[in-house]
Amino acid sequence: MVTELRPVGGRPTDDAELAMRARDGDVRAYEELVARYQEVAYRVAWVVARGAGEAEDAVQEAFVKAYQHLPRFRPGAPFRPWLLRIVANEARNRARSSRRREGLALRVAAQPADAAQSPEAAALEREDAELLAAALGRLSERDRLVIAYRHLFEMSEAETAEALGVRVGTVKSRLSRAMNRLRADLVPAANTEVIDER
Amino acid sequence: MSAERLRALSDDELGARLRVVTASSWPETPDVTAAVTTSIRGAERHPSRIPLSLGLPSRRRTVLVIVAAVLALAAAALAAKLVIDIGAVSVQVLPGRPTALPSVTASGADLGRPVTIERAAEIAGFRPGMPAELGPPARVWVDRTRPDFAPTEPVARIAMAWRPQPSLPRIHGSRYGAVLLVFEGEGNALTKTLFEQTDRYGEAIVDGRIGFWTSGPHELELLDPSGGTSRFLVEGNVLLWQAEGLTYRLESMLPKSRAIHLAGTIGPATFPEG
Repeated sequence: MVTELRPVGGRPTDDAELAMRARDGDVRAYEELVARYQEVAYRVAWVVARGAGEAEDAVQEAFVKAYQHLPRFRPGAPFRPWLLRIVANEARNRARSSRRREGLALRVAAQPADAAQSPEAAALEREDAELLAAALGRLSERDRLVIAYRHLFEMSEAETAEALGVRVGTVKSRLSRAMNRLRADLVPAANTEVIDER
Repeated sequence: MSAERLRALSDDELGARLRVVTASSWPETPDVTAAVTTSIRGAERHPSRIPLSLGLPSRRRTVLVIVAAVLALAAAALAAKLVIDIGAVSVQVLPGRPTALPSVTASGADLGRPVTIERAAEIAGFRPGMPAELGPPARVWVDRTRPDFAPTEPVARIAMAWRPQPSLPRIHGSRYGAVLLVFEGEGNALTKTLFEQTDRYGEAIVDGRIGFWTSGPHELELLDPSGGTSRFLVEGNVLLWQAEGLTYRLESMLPKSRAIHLAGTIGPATFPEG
């Protein structure tokens, strides 16, 4: 079973209030934040670690770590990019120490066709999906992450900058280069193999 | 052909296409709420968090009493988790013994860019004092980045290392006899994880200021140049203290009294930018 990605809209006031209550020891308030952001957190971890097991562990640990560091969370700052930065870092640490890798292309190839589509449209969709997911999977983690934040999770440039810990201008240039590399890497699956970064 | 058609799309069009075709491809998100809550509640049964960022002599006695009391309580309550903040360094003491420590120690590349001390001072905005007994450091690294948990607060770090000397034995797993890290700011730039059953720890007074001492293998989580963190094994003895708004971390194989003496020979820092 798959879930559809829903852009997680910014709810800064609610998030800030929940974060402050959680900081003061209200675990239920933090549960609400976990429920609200675990989907996007898991997907970010999966983009970085590329393994379901590592991603789940990373998300769990990142939420615990974020809770412990709430006293250092700046009141009024956006919670989501702050959290995602912790998630990505945790996933990165786990990916470094793990040998398991799952290519993104494998997941796309396993998807069934939409019954409402014509056979031609379904074939085109499938071909695009395979090409794009394979190319995305061959990019560096840095490129994958900036593309994921901006295009898959539809985060603003400011939010992406906060999540990556860089300036907005750097997001623009990094994204542009990443998209060029993605484009250059669009080659038929038969001519490619999933490359291990390490 | 799909590849050619996709290549012809603009960045925004290609991003939108990517979003559409991967929308149904994500693995199902596991619900971690219960596991996270359980971890948090477990750690909170005995919450203890004390700031050690107090260098004022008038507060010294009070701080000492607080530290001694909390450390005694932590030793008695084996299920407790103790967190102590010392400037840019956070120390957490976990009950029991480690199940798995990192296998690698921090190397030069993990400490920042290798530079001269003059260049390090220029980049960091301060020049730390040197331990008079050791002479100039063999290597200097600098890093200026932002910690994960304080996104708006940049942290400058200068690391210096000295080769082993007759009175300065080599640190296990390292080529150096002493490594001094100096942090500017209060952002969490380094986290140490100690374990009740395998590590020794306690307060230490460095040049009249309250500090922290630990010996025994433990874990160090260090802010790396990209702004993320990496975990390392520490096998040396570590002394932490604050002075002039900087946080100092001295690692060596020296016993506590010798390390405190060496730290006391460190001269004042200078701040060229005012």
